[in-house]
Amino acid sequence: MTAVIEAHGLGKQYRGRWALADCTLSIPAGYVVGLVGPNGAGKSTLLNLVTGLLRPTVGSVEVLGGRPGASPTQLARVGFVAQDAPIYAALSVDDHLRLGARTNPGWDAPYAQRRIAKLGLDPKSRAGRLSGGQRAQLALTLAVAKRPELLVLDEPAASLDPLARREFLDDLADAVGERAMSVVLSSHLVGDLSRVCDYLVVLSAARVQAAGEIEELVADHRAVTGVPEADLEDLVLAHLSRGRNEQEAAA
Amino acid sequence: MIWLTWRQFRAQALAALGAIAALALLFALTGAHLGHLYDSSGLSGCSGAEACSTAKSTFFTDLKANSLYPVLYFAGVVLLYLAPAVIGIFWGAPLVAREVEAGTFRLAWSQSVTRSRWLVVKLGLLGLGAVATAGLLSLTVTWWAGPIDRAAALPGGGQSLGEALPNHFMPLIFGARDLVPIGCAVFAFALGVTAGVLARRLLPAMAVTLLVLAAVQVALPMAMRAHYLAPERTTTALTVSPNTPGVNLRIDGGNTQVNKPVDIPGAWVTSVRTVDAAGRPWNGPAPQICLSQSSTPEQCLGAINQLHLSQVVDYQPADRYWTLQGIETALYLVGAAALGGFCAWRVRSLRLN
Repeated sequence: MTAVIEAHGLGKQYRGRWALADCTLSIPAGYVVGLVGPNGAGKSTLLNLVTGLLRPTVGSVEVLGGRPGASPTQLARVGFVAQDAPIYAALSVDDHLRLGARTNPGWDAPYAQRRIAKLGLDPKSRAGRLSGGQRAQLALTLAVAKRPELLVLDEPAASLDPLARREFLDDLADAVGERAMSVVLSSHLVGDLSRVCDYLVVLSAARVQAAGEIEELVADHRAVTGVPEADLEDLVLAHLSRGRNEQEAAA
Repeated sequence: MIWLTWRQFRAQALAALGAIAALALLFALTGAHLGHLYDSSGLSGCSGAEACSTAKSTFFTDLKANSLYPVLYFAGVVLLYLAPAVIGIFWGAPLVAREVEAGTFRLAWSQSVTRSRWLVVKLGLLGLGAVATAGLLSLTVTWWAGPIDRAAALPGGGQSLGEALPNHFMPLIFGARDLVPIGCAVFAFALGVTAGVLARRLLPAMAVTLLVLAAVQVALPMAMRAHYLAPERTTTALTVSPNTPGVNLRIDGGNTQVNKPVDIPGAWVTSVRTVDAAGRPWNGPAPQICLSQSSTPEQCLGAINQLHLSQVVDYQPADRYWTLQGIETALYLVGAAALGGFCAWRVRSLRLN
């Protein structure tokens, strides 16, 4: 089985600063992967590399066995909801669905229509008038209705209030349950991830600190620390503080 | 992708169409009467410098009688210089810059369309829009000004300066006729897109587009156009005599001007200068005898004729009008293609933050 994301020594430099360094990862298919780390840890950089919007400075990354963004076929296999869920403010909800239909060969129109109806969005209303939560939902609809094999979401719930956030994540879990796709989802909130994810990548100070199935990671963490009630949050915090210590030691 | 381009561009396209329709109507309503003035002045059948010169004067007076015609004439010129700027600033510059500013390129470029194709379709369709817009405007203005342009190209100059009809081969007018505005509009569009790709912010991209385009619109006629083809040259002897009018003599301190009016119908005169017998530029001083109080005018003229002055005129003849139109349009289109290629290359590795 091919890995959904296979990275070797992947790094991206911006104006002399490494936003992501020495990233080696192999994420198997079929998981909902949580990518967690503090702001500026390189989460967005990694996801933009995975979707082909950025090119690596060093190293390589393969997504579903292909080079990210290299061809229409490759683009069709990956759905992406970027940070802040960008949409065209001047276009209507309906226009966005037509955009999806016109630019994606695998477009699932009935699904998109159904989902918009279920969300209670007015197809005629301009996307610029939607609330933050509705925007995120529209962007998610677009990304899922193209029927990707891998769905990538960059802080999809960051701008939402706690209630909208929970609704969005439940919706995401439903959408994932309906079809066979892998998901990578970034957040700086562990609570978000424990709700939907079964695989975890911890990113701190531009480096991967831990990666693996959540159950295994938590079990290992309990064994190492000898704290039987340690949970996902403790585990993430332990890795993040380790990342910070390394950074301080290096500086 | 074609649908998306149309959907995003629809408002601008309709605005352009509305503006073209309104302007075409304005010019169409006044254009017919302009043709009538041309016919009634006797220009259509005139032959020979003298007959045409009289007819031209009549036509010119008729034109000036209604202040609408001079206003529309120059409004047409201004319009065809402004249209490329508007296209570059409002169609070209936002094409990439607005997507980057709003972050929507992340949406657009994660659909199943490569960003090269995204750019090619947008450049192609909006480029065609620029061709259509500038083409229709140029067609309207060129048709409207047709009687004036035709009259100016007829023989029979001789009118004093400020009373001559403007010739469509003159630098300012040439860029507002026929093909050149189309080439300029396509170039301006590509320039706007390039500025947007480089600046990645809308307002700076618009400002850069305006500045660079204005520089190009000034530089081409001032520094380049006269050199597309080597000019034709005529040399005529300047013999001054009280009996043959036509040669002007003006003595002003150390500076002396001897010249005669140039009348090459329909040509673009790029340089007129007075040279001495050895071919060196000559502008005085006047022979000593001309400055003396005691000498007669005949003695002065005789002394000037002894210098064997002649007038050298460089010009692009009227029949090169279309060749130069073609060359300049091609230059603009080559520039636009180069910029488009640069954008395509650049967009593939656009930085994001």
